[in-house]
Amino acid sequence: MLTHDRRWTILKTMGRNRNGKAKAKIAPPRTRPPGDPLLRALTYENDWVARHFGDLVKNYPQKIVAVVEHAVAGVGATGDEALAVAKEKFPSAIPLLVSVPAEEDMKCVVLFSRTPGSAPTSTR
Amino acid sequence: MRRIVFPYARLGADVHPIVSLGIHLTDAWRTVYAYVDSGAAYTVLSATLAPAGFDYRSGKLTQSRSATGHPLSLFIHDLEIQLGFDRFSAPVAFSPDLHVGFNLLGRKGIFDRYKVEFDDRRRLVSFTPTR
Repeated sequence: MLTHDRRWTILKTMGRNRNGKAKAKIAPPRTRPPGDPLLRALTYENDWVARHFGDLVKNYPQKIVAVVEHAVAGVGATGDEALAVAKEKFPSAIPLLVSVPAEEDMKCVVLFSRTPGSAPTSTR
Repeated sequence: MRRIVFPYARLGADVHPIVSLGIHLTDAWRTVYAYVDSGAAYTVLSATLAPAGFDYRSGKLTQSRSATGHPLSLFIHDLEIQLGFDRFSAPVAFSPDLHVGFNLLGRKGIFDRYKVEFDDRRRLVSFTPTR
């Protein structure tokens, strides 16, 4: 008969919680980009932006950035401005345009979503 | 049609359900990044994303109000959009007054086509086709 502590140690090494269920795993990033430029922006570049969203908010608040090849290829006040810069470097690519919020904008979202009694479907 | 899954966007210790979608405008595709918002009736994009050759003000004008109480002018167009592998038409609104700092992916044309699940534990938002 295993002691509780011993059982917990074994479960931890198996990547399971105290109830024996598998721990939640974060989806691994896609490694092979699709050939279609639109699909590439919607999947491959999307995954990079999701992982680096904090850096974008810190470095480019209230700007629009164009992301190509896992990097910021253009920055501007409008989509056209950001695209024009990115298209000079990557003429055949379809960049992912990201409207980068200011950190305060996202704090507003967090504040509303954590307030007890706030409407569950409206976070802003 | 298959299930489409996006990872949450990370911002410090917080995560947000923000996804990318393609929009067909003036014979070219443009991609945008939008916050999945079940409280928004329409998909709303900032007017700064509209290309110079696209007159976003030609859409159907609707006056609305944001959750923060600010008045919003929405110019609604029926546009072809791409979410993951799927292409379909959906109403998309452009607004010059969208001051929240990000675009919104709202219900009309999206939530009636997909079952949308927010999995905060796995940090994923998924769209399962219902048709």
